[in-house]
Amino acid sequence: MLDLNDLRLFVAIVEHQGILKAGRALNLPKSTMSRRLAGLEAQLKTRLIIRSGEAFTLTPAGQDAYDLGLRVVQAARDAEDRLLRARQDIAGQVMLSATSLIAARLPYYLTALTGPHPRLSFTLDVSERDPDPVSDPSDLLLRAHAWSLRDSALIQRRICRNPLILVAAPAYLVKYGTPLAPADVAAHDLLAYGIDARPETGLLSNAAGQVEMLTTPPRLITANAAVLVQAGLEAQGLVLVPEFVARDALASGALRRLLPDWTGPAVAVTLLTPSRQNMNATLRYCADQIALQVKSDILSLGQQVPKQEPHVPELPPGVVTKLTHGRLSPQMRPGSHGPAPSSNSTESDMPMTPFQTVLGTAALTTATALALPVAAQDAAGPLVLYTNDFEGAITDRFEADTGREVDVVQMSGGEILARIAAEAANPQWDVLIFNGSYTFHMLDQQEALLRGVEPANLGNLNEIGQTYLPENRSWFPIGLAASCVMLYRTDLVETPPTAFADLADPRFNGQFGMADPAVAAPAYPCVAQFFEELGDQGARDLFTSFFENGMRVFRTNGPTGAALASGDISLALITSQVAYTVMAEGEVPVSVVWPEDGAPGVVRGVGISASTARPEAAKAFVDWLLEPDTQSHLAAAIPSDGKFEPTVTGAVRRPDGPPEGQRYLVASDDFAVEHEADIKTWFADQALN
Amino acid sequence: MTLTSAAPTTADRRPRHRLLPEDWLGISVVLVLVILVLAPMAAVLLQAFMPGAFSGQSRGIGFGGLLEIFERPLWRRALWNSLFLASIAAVIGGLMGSGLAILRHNSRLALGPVLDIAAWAIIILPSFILAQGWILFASRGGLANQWFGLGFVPDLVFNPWGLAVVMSLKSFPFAYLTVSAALQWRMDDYTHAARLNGAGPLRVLWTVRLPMLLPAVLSGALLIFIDVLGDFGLPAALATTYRFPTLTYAIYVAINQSPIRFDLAGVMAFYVTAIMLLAVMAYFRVLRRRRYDFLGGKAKLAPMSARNTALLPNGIALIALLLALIIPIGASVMVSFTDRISQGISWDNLTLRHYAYVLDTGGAFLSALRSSTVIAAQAAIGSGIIAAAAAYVMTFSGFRLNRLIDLTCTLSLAVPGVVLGIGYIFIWNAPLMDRAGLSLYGHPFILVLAGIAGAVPIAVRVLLGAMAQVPATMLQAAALQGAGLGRRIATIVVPLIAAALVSATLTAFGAAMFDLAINSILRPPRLDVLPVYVNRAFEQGEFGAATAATLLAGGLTVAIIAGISAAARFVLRRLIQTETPKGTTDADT
Repeated sequence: MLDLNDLRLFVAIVEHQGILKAGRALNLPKSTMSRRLAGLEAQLKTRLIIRSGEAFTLTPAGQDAYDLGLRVVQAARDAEDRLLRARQDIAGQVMLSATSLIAARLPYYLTALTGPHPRLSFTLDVSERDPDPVSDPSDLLLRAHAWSLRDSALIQRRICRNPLILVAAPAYLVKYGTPLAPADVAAHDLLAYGIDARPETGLLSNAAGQVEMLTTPPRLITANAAVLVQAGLEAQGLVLVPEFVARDALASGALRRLLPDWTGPAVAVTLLTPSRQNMNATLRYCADQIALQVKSDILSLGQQVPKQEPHVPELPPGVVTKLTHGRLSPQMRPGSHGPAPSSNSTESDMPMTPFQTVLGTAALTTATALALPVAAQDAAGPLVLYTNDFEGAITDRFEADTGREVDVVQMSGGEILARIAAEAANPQWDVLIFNGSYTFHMLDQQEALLRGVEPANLGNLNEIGQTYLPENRSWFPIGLAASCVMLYRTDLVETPPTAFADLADPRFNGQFGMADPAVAAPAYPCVAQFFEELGDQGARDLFTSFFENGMRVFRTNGPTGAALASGDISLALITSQVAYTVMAEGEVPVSVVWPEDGAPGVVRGVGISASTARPEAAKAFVDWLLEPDTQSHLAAAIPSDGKFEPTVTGAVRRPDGPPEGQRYLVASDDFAVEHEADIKTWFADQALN
Repeated sequence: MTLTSAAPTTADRRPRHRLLPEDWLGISVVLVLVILVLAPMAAVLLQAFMPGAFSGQSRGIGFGGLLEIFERPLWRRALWNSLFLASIAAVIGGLMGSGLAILRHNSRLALGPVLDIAAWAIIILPSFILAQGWILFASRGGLANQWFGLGFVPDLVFNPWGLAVVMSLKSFPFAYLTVSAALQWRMDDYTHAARLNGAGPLRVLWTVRLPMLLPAVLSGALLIFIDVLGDFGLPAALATTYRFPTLTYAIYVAINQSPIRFDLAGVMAFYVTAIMLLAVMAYFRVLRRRRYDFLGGKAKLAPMSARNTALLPNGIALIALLLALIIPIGASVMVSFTDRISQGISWDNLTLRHYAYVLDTGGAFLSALRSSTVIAAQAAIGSGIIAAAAAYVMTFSGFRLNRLIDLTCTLSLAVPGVVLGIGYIFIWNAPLMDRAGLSLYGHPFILVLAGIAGAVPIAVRVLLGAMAQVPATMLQAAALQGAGLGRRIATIVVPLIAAALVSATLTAFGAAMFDLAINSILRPPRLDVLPVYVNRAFEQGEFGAATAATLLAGGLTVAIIAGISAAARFVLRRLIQTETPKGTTDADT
């Protein structure tokens, strides 16, 4: 048989009108080209090309060979195209298993995906069941749940949360009366969202933090939200459903919200996917897009609705029917939740005339505007948070909990203050989390903080929180830690010190260090506490004795800890957060001395910018930080930053942090701010020698 | 024909515009520099005289701040330390860099290409990585003492002289690269003449080649001086703060005070700038005494050297590599593969988990790498163009603001990134800019601008060394033949300095990739950038992850730079070689 490669080279030679040029284009040496051409000619026993000087002509046999060769080359290129495209294009069939919660909106999501990608198709299954790791064929699973999902090999991506609310049809209320307090619900038929009769489904809470339990056993429990809404519309009782599904019916007046101050537990919407490496481009794209759309849809509070609604009449009916019926039925498996196919609700939405749509849209917009009059004051765009802690633990959780967007700017403490000061003419931040209450005091003196903020859940504050809460409510304490404890290497120090003054002892000569109070944010409160407690002269004497005993000063707490770990020093004056982190890691044998009189402390707080354009979102953020759940989450999420004393009742401390009941001595903010320049300057100039 | 048609047009133009095309080029360069460097810098320096000028709390004008530096012990010490460190490092680094460059180009060195890549790598690697490497190696609990039993190493490294040597090891590539660029073209005529007259190789080197290289050597040393003066990361990390405070450290302290003392930062920045200006002026005084445009029509590309394993030169190169790169990076590499540092070298202690962690954490590292690469690429191209224009104007035109261009280009090297970043906030976040719809603050593009500002000075230095060798007579001859500015640049200057231009752009790329200070203070929310990611990991004590991330990113950057520069060298060589045969035959006939 002919060597197909020879044929390819020959085609290239003809196309480039010469051996040399073809060789350059294919990146092959000229000798190879001419040898292969000669080989081809020898095999075909005829001349294919006539070369005479500059001219280049094909013989008739050459022309034939070229025509045939071109077909072979073309076939190879086609094959390459098709094989490669399959891996990179957004195309193919995706098996999606979705919760009935979003069933009504699925056609829009899917059209948005299939529209730009004609070769993408879906098989859809509407189900509430936990994914079965063995038999479930779905690629992506979207689940709504107020309970925890069963563990599986799939990655759970929390998209957003949506609270349960109590609704009923006006006709029902006329007949049976309107409940005005949670206790009244007992007299009614209750239809609840859930998978089984768990008591926590009936927990209602309000903004003031009160919790009430609905004691009546529900007459119907289902996780199929469409059935619940339909039952509500037919006046069968009070219905506890996710707010998202009832949104349309509430806006049109077909249902009424009851007990507007009270909400049930939040339903989380979770997308389950294979791990990212195991998804091809199509799946990744679909997963990201669906997550994005579901999030914006559920969190939009109606803003997105006007934009999306006009699309309804334009939908080609074929798409909707095909996806919800034609492909769905074969995939429906026995055991799916819900007595009726959830696609019913989709159908009932469809036959709206454009006029009705416009009317509904207007009603919806008005309704949301009325429901959220305060949010309208906020400027557009996400809340901007400046923080030196907890990066990565805030964004997703805050957005899922409150439905508001937040941009987190994380920098070291010094950089944050520099950035805030440089922006003074045109501040860009809305809220600030900072480890050091004196900074808030200083910002407040410059009138940079919003005063008189009254979070609804201020009552959550525990004793620590109450102690440090400023009278003018310009910032709120969210955590307490020690700014310096003594951390020592048990293998290098024989007799540990018991009090700070012991460090002047010659046995520690040159063997201990601390962070520079002029640079490290938490080191200043430590030094300031000594100055306040011992008086100016007393503190100067103490630190002079330290310097004379060879105390080393490091830039920040991180390097101090590293020097201790490497054995450069055997004892460090260091924050409790770093100290207990080094201890928990267990890389080197260390122990902490917490002086009996107490260790200097530092209070972490949150404050709102005086010139914020998003005051409501900022207040919601402060509210959120004063929730026990939030503080427990922050403590659990970040090992080092998380070792703090919570400031609200009911928050869970980290088990690997300082033991409970330690004493903290925090320098008063007035003193710390007033003497800051003096103390830092004195310290810096002393430390030279 | 050409003469008669060209003459009237030039006669027409001159009186109408009165400004030469070179002047227009110069004006645009100055405008760009004002926006990128001068205005932000001025905003910070202004703080020294008008405290609170941009933060809305102006406290009047005063010069009292300037004298404070002589009152506080910390600042006196900082001033002295900075001068000491920068001067010693400039001398040691300048000698080392020039020596290595000459060695590389004169003897056939097997380690030559490695040396080239190492020079790039040292420039682009963030100084905190090198510092961390040295600490891991030389501290009391470090590898040298614990693993190899070299008890004298900690005392050798952790003193002012040791620090100066480490600084020069970190910045010698500036001299190496400028001298290498200058060695690219050879005028063998002079060497041959000297050899014919009986001079030995050393004498030729001392009396012919070195004097011709003087501009490059000096600009290398100057770059080192300025770089060390403006560096914050390495001295701060190596010297445990007050044992060796520098001016940049004092700036950092001023910015970290609350209420913030921008005025003190301005004063320090003023002194850094003033010292730098003095150094630049000294440099010019030395250069102005003689001419250095020695390239003629017979200049040739330096020949590609064959592999050679001569012991002495290779040994010297190896020692240099060992000290400058292998020790600090090797320590980082070990840390990145080590599960627990304290457990020493053993097979069970080796792990890839840091790399897996970095590549797996929700794509944060990859997205940071991607955005940093894009930003650095834009900044590199931008600064390559601006630097080329600036160097051309400075070298070949009598533009009146030449001195200003030169000073500005050097200025931003001398000023720490934090200060420049604050200047950027002052300027780009001003309410005026907001109203004009130009609020770039909070937009990724501001990082590109800042990256350009940070990289232009390096690029300009590299290009100036190369352009100084192009005789102005060549350009004048072309101009006489009617070639316009664009044509002169495209056909004469660019081919002659192409290699240096590529070097300059690639250096800018590397520098912009890891600029921590600017990136962290100007970073828009939701944009992951590499230096911030790495630094965050360091701060959280995840040394393994931080070094793994740096090594991955640094490896990628070095690969990009090495790839592009190899490709460029290949293309240039081909272009020049295909044309030279024609040129020589013309000349012979």
